[in-house]
Amino acid sequence: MHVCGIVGVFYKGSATGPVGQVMTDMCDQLFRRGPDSAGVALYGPRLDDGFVVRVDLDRPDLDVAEGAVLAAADEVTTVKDAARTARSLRLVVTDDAEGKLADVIEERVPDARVFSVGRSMEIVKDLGMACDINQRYDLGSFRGSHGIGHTRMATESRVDIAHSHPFWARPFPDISVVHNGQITNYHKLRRRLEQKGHRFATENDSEVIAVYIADKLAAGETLDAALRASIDDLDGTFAYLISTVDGFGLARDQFATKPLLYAEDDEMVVLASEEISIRALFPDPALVPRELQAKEVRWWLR
Amino acid sequence: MTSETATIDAEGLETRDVNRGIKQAIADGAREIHVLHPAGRHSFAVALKEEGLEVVFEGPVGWYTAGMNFGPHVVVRGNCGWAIGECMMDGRIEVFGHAGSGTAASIRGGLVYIQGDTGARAGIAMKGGTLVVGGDAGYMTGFMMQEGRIVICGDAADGIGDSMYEGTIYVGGSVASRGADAEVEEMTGEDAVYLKGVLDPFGIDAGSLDFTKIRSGRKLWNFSTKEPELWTSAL
Repeated sequence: MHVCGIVGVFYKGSATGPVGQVMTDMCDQLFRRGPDSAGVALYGPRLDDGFVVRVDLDRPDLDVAEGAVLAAADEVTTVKDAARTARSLRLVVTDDAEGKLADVIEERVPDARVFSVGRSMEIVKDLGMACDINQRYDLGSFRGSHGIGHTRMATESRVDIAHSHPFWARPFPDISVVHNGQITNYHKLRRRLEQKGHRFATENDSEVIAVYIADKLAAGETLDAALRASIDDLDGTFAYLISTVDGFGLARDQFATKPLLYAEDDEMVVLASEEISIRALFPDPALVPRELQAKEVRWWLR
Repeated sequence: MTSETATIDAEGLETRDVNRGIKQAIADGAREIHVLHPAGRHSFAVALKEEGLEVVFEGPVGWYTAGMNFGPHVVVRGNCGWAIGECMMDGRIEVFGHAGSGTAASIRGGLVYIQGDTGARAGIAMKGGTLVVGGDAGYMTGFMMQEGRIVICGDAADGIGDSMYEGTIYVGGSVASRGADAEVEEMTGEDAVYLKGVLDPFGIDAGSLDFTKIRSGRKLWNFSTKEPELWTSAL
């Protein structure tokens, strides 16, 4: 994505905040950077005894589709709760069938796409502006520890909901990415990860970042090490923000091609492609944004 | 405030309305214009050509602020985004905060002062004028500059002066690496006098810094088949 906008917020310690409202409001400030679509990955209260699943139903018979998804999920796990807002179906399940739940749902139910699985993470995305998505999916009341968001100007793949950001690092729970830039060795990286058994849900180059980082974390690497490795392994232009259940990290390419600023105080961290997005919600002059430098990585975890 | 002073509150106004407000205030005789609540928005105070005019932003501004100006003095009390002062012909810009990438890109004259740090490619393609960075400068500062001077009081990131044609860069802190054909030259007494003169107004003691002077090696001016490795590494 060449001219997209990315945002993030992280509340330190055990604090939570209105991440749904904050993320969509910050996205709206960057709508000129990406008018095609918008999306958020929000991290709510962590479920120790289950997973939350977000399924996008891309078909008109929503009641039928919902029933089919519930039936498919019931084959491999136990559904504890289900609620649908517009075309986004939210399930709470006891387990993710060892990472197979998303595949099972998508195999059984045509045009049902699992956007996220996690103990905390919920991904909601759609075409248009973030404020509309906020209303359509009732995100304003969502409270959580952190969140990331994106406004997309599509250049590399289709303008549709599935190819919008954020991307889940399937099948790794709770890991998502938003990206501004273009990964030019995408096909090579994707092949390498597919040979390790990973599956991709889209043709979007940004999805490879999520899986790349998640693969390293699963192998025991720290987020810091994974971010630093990405500077060399990802070819192209990028400023990206990757989130886990505990927090998030960010990295910028060696040419510092894409903008990304962060501001931090004792209570929170806030990030955006442009300061206008930060200032609209956080005008306190004591909060001073800094531009991430070339090859710089930063991360914040609980 | 005197009658020659005007105030514009940018909150709730479109960018065009703010810029029209500045133009109208000038037409009405204002010589000092304060803009409140700029809130990091883009393209304010561009294409102004009134000498003796001062425009003060009481907060951070966004991208392309004060671009293509010819004469005014623009002050920003906060950060600025990418490419402040782009293509400025003459005038003075002072930013009391940090700057994004492409600061003072392609300026032909005047002075741009950033109190804090600058992002990547500050002073890219400068064709004259002066850029002073009070803090650290980012990747490839002075890339392809053609004339003018860049003074960095902090550290310089990788690739400083890459492919510069002409001009001079002074670095008061460390240099991570020089770019292609950027060479170190010995500091002279004239350089010290110049640095004192340009830094004194900002309260920076030039004598307390150990400046490195960087200029073009001029090896990239003309292609030479005898030095193919020079061009391979540069490109």
